[in-house]
Amino acid sequence: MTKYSKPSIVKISNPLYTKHGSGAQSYHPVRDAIEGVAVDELVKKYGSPLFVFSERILRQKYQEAKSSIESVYPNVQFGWSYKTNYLNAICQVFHDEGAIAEVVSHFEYQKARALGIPGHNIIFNGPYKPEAALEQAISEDAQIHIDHFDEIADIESIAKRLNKKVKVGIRINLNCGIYPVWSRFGFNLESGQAWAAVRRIAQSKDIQLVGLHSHIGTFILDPHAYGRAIDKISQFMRETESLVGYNLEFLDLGGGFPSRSSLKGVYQPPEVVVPPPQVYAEAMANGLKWLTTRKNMPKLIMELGRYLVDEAGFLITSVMADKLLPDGRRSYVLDAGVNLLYTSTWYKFKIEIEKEPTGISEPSILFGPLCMNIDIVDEAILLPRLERYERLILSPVGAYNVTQWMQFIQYRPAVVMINEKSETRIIRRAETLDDINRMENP
Amino acid sequence: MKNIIGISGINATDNPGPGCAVARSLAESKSKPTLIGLSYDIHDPGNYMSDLFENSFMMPYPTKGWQGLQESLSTIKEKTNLNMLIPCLDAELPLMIKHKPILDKMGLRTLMPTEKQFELRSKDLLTQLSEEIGCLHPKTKVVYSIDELVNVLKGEIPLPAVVKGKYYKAYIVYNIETAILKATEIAAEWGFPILVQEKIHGQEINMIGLSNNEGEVVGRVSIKKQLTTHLGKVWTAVTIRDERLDALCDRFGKLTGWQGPFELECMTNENGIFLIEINPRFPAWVYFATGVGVNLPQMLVDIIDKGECKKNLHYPTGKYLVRYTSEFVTDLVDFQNLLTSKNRKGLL
Amino acid sequence: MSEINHLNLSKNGLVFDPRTGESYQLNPIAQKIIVLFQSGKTSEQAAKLIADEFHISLEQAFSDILEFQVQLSIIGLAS
Repeated sequence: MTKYSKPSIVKISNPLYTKHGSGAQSYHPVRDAIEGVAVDELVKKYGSPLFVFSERILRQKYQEAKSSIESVYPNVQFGWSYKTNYLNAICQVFHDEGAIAEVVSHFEYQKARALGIPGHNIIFNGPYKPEAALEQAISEDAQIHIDHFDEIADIESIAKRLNKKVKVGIRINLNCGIYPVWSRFGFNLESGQAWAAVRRIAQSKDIQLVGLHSHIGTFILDPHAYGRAIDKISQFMRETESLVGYNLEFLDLGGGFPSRSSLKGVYQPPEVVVPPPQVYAEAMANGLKWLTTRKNMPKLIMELGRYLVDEAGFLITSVMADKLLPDGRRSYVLDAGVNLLYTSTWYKFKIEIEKEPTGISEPSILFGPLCMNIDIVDEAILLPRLERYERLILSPVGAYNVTQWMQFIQYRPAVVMINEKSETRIIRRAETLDDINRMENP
Repeated sequence: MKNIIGISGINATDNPGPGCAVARSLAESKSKPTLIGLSYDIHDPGNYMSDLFENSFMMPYPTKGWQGLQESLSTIKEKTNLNMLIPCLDAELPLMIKHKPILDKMGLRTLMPTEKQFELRSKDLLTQLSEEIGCLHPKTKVVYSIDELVNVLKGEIPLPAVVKGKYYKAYIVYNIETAILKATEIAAEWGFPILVQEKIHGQEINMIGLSNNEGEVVGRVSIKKQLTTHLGKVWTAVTIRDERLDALCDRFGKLTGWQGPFELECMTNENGIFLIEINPRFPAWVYFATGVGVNLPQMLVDIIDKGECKKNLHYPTGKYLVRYTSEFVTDLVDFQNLLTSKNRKGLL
Repeated sequence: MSEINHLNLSKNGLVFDPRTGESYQLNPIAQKIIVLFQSGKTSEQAAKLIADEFHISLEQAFSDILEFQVQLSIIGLAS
C-alpha cells in the first residue's frame, strides 16, 4: 500500500523544474548521521536547531594545511584565527595541534588569555586596538601587528610608560590581482605608505620592527595570488632589512584559503574550483625560496580560519511548517534562519535530508523562523515533500556562523562536538532567558 | 566487445552542443556503435532523436558535484552496458577529468586531456600557453566583479573589447554600458569570473583537431565561418588550409601532450595568428570534418579501442557547410518518460 | 471541477491537459485525489475516503485536501 504523503502537484513549465529541474535533477543527498552519530539521536538529546562540530575534521584539516605549507617552507607557525570561530573547545583543538592565537580585538585577546594562552603566543591584529588592550598586550609580550600611524604613536607612548622596547610587525596591503584590494587594513605598499611606516618605526627608540604581515582577502580561489603577494612582500622585505640593518624574524601571510563551500555566483562545484592547500603551498614555494637559505630562517606565519573550521561544522534544523505561497511555490519554515547563518548571504549551503526521499520533487523555498522578509535559507531548491519536524542538515557552516550569529527574537542553540570516538559533548549550551536578562536592569 | 557510447552535449537548438553531430558521425561510421544520449536538460533535442540514440538519460547538473553524476552514470551503465564516454560539454569536463580513475574503474573508457593539460588552456592561462606555442594572443584580464570589469575597460584593455564567460558566451562591446549589461547577463547564467579581452581585428579561422595518447595530432580540419547566427555559431562555412595554423596545432599537441579532441579558435591579421580560445572538446560543427572525410569521433573511438588510429590529415579545401534547422515529431510519452523515469524509453 | 475533468492521468503520475498543452507531475496521493474529484466527490467526501484508506485523521486529510485545492487553483486547475 502507498504510504501517505501530502498531495503535491508541479506544473512542468516551472523553470526550476525543467531547466535545473525535472525528475533527474531531484538528486538529494541523504545524511542520517554526523561522524557516526545519528541525527535523530543528536536532536533528541540536544534539541533543534543544533550546531555540530567534528573534532576529527578539525584536526585533519589542520594537519593537511600544516604539512602542505611545511613541505615548501620548514619554519611554519599557524595562528588560529579566533574571529572565525572562538568557541573555547574549537580553539582548544587548534591550540592542541600547535597553533598560537590570532586575535583582532580586546575581547578576543582576553578570550585567548582566559584559555591559558600566554601573551607571547598571541598575535594581535586589527584596525582598532584600544589603549587598554595595547597596554595589556605590550606588558604580556604579545606580537602586535600595527595597522596605522596612530597606533605607532600609541605603542610608543605605552612603551615609554612601561619602559620597554616593543617588538612589532606591520600589516601591509598590496595589489596582487585580487579584487577588491583590502586597502583599508594596514599600510599600502604601492603608494609608499608601508615604506613610510618602516622609516618611521626605524627612527623610533621604543619600537623595533621584526616582521611583516599581509592578508590579501578571503575565499581566494586563485593560489597564484599568494605567489604574487610573496614576490612583492619579498622585495619590500629586502629593502626593509637593508634600511634597518638586520634580518626580520617573521613573515605573516594571513589567511584566505577557501573551504569547500559554494560561493554564490560561482558556477562550478567547490570540488572543481577550490584547490587543496598543497596547490597554495606550491604557488607560494618559489617566492619563499630566498628565505630558506638563511641560517635563521624567519618564521612563516599562516592565519587560516575558514579553511580549518568550515567543513567541520554542520547545522541541524527542523521543518516547523509547510506553506503554499500564492505563486504556487512550496515553502517551509525552519527553526534556523539567517539569525544563525550569517554566511548565507554569500554562500549556498549543501542541504541534506535525513530520510530517503519518496515521490516527486517540488521547487521549494526555505524560510527561517524570523519575522523578517529577508530570512531565507535557500530561495530555490528542489525538494521532496518534507514532513513536519523532518530535519535538514546544512553544511559547511563551521566558519563565522557561531561568531556572527545574532540573538534576535530567538535564543541561540546549543553547539556540540563529536570526538574521534563518536562521543558527543556540549561545547556551548543553548541560551536561556536568564542569560539575556542577567545583563539588564529593569 | 560492442561499443556502447554515452554522448553528452546533445542540445541542438540556437546554441548547439556537439553531441548530436558526434553521434551522427559515429552513426555513419562502419563500426555502428550503440549510442546513448546523456542530457542535463529535458528539452535537449538529442533526447528525442531515436534515429541516433538508442536511449537517452537525464543526469544531475554537473554544478551539483561529482557524487550525483557518478551515481547516475552507474545506473545508466546498469541499464545499457555503457562502456565508453564522449563528454561534449564544457561544464562537465572538469569533473569528468578529475574523476577519470573512477570512470576507468567503472569500465567507462574515455579519451580526455589530463587535469594539467585542461588547465593549461583555460582562458585565464592562455596568454602564457600562446607564448610557449609561439603564437600571438590578445591581452586578457580575469575579473571577479562588475567594478573590476569597469576598471579594466577604463585602463588596461580599452574599448572596444570582448567580454567572455569562463565557459560560454562572448560579446564584442563598444561601450561601458553594454559591457556591464553583457557581463551581468553572463554572470547571471554562468557566474564569475568574467574575462575581458582585447578585440583583435582580422579574420576568424577555426580548427578542429584530435590528438592521440602521445599528444600527436592525428586529424585536423580548418574552416572559415562565412555566416554566423547572432550567438556567433556557424551557419555556413568553408574548409581552408593555412600551413602556419597546421604547424601551430601540431606544436600545441606536442607541447601540452594533449589527449583527445579540441578546437582552436584563432584570428589572423597582418601581425600573424592570434590564438583566441582552445575548447577542450569537439566543436558543434564536428560533422563538417566528418563530411569532408575526416571522421574524428570515429578516430577517437579507435584510439580508445586500440590505443591508436589511422592518421588522417588530408581533406579538400573549398568544401561548403550549410547548417539548417529541421523538425522531428514524436510522442509526449518520450517527454514524460524522461521526466519521470529519467530516460526516454521509460526503463525503470 | 470542470477543468479537472479534462485531465488525462497517465500511469507514471503525469497529467496532460489537452486543452492547454500543460503537463503536471503528481505524487500518488495527488493522483488519487484528482481521480476522486473527477468522479464527482466533494473535498469533504474525498477527505473521508483518503483518511480511511491511509489511516490518518480526518482533520489532516481535510486540511491537506483544502490546501491542495488552493494549489490547483493557483496553477489554473481551479476546482
